[in-house]
Amino acid sequence: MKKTSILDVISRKLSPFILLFGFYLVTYGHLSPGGGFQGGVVIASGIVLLLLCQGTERVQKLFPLTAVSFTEAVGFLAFLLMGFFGILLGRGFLSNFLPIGTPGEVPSAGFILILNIVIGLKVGAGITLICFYLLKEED
Amino acid sequence: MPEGSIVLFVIVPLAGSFFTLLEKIWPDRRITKPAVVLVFFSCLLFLLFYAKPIFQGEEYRIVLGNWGGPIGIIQAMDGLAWVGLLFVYVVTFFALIFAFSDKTYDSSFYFFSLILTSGMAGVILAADLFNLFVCLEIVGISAYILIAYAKKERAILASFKYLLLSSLGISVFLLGIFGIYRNTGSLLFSGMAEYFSSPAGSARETPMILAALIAGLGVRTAFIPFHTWLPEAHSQAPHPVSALLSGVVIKVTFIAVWRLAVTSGSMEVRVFLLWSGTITALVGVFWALMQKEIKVLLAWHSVSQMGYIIAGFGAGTLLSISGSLFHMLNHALFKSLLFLSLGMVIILTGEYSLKRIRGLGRKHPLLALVFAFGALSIAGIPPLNGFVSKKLIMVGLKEHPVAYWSLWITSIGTLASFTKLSALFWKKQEKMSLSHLAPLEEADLQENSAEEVSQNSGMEKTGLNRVAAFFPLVVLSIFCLITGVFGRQIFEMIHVLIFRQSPSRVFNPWTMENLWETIIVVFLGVFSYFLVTSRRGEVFQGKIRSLRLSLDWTLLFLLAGFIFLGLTVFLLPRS
Amino acid sequence: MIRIYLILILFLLGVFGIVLCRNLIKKVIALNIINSALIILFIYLGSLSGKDAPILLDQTGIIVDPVPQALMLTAIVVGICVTALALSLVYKLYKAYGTLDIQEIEKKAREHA
Repeated sequence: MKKTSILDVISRKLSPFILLFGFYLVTYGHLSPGGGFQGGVVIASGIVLLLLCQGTERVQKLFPLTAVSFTEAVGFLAFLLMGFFGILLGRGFLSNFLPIGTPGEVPSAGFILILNIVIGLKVGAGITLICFYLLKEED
Repeated sequence: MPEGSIVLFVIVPLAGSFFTLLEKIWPDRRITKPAVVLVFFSCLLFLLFYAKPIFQGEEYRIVLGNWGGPIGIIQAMDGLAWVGLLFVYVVTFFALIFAFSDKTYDSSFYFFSLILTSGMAGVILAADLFNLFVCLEIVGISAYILIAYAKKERAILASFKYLLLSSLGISVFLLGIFGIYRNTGSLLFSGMAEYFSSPAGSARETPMILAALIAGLGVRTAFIPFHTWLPEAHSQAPHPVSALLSGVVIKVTFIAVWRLAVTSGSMEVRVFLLWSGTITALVGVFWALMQKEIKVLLAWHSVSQMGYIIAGFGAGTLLSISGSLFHMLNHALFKSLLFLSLGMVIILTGEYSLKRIRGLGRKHPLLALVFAFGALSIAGIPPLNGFVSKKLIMVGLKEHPVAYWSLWITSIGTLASFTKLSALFWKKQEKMSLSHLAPLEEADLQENSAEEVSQNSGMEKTGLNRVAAFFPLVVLSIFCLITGVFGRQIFEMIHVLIFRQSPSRVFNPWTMENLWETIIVVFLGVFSYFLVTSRRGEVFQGKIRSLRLSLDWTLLFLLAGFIFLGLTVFLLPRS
Repeated sequence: MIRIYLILILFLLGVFGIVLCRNLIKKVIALNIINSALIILFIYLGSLSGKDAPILLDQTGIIVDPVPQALMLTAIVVGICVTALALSLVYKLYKAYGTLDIQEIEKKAREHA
């Protein structure tokens, strides 16, 4: 994609804010609209903006391909692990086993926060990988 | 067996797919093939454990994760699900063994096939609407990927068309779920049954909801008018995938339609299915007769045989419903046998068209034999299995004379077109280069591959393992024979499984009357074959073949089908 | 009632887009519009029973029905997977045939066979 200075500057200035917004959506998912999947997609869109405007080689220095794949795989396994903790403690799969704190604070509602973060990372990494492979120039 | 373990039918293939992925990390350890074999052996073993209680009429339910209630996730297994799981696992197992023979299928192929299997098990065992939706989409996405696996351009186009039409269908299915949720607040099949039988369930919009659900599933099952994606998708896919798609994927969606129709208890659905099935059977066999590419011909036959199954279910009598399930089992067996043997033909000769392959019977007698088993089964010749199930359906349809005679004509057409197809094997070769037909060994295959075969078949030949390729063909033909010979006993078992009682009348398919009917069908079939392959017939065939629909017209046809269905349901007088 | 009509118009726009557009990417976008119309329909149904977000900071509050929202999250995820697959298929078709126009692709496919 032909690089113009507008795209270059805007993408570099804007994408950290998009990533920050994505992480906000993930972390406050149990208190306001948002959640794991939604935040993950916003995180991915921040990285895809960089991919489109900067090219895949430059973005690889910041988000190496192996790290992104690793995050995706580990995210899925971590989700399964959290689910199995519920079985280990005698209740069903994916039952809430952490204490439910005071409503309205961030560390409340049991383990939904951890699930949100795990899913957010996984989805963000997954969609980034998809777009990465679509945008990579074939050698 | 603990009650909750029916979820293992879905989980074990998923776990197996995880193991096939490990081969990507350790490419030297051959994990995939033993993992696949282990998965299917253990699933079939589980199925055998459940055989005795299911035959005695028990049902199993599991509420996943204790999230019960009106919006829970429930899986239930009864007799219908048992038979469905049986043919899904058996046919998928043999199709994958056929895929073992070709080294171009790497571990990601088996990964997607195992996910397809677990999705299909999920659809069969689903007892609530949203679980059904998710598993249908899992089956769909794996099917799109597997069709496009061959990386031929026409395969990718076929997969894209299937994707568009199928997504439209699922959107209509979601509309149906919307209607159900709005009126009942529950998504379980049991909640649906209560709603349909209550007085509120005879309002104006109930038939529309049911029509939306059935039409949405109908796109995947391919009855008229939703069938347009099937010939391309099933013919362009790689050979084991065609066998899987025609053999099991379309039937699994029909099992979901079956459950919906039974839960709603509505007569109009059955009448619609009866008529739709009859028209499907006729149209399918008509277009099948006109084709000259062998896999497209078989794919149109899939449409036509599904018409038998749907009409059998729609007729509503005990005999025809059992016949419909029996025909599902038989069709899974013989259709996958046919697709796999034609796949062998294409691999060995590199040609797709009927006119260019001749005289294979002399060079590959075993292939001709297994193909003969498949062709005789689908044409309904005793003592193979197609005969018993077709007779069951037709006897059950005796009260609907139009449907009865239409299915008769379909049998004649099926026989004619399989005579035409088997010309591959017995017609003498015309002036062709003999290198196509020389007896092939593995070394020869690698040499021939570069010049003729690689263009047409699109997969690089790295050696063909003939034992692995022929073993499923032989075993499937033996199964066809066994289910045919013991047809009466199997019919009784199926009757017990569905209706939980033994059949009241003994059904004996081996009567002189049935035999005479079959002989008449054979004569008329061969006569029609000569009609169709005459001079005038060939011209007519060419004209019909050129009426192929493009994607836009396909979509318009589909939408016209939805609108037509919606209007008929809307304007029908309430009974 | 006007809202249901608007959602219906959105759905019909998507359907017309799939049938009438010749560009493959426009067809995929139209499929997304259909999915979005259905999702809005479900959530609209859920919103009929209340007004607040279903986060019970205090135990009172007339909340929207959270069930359709949960169902629609699943539908959104499935829609995204199908869209991603459709786009990669379109990309492969583009590389194979050199054009994104469906009628030209079919013409080339027919000649090739």
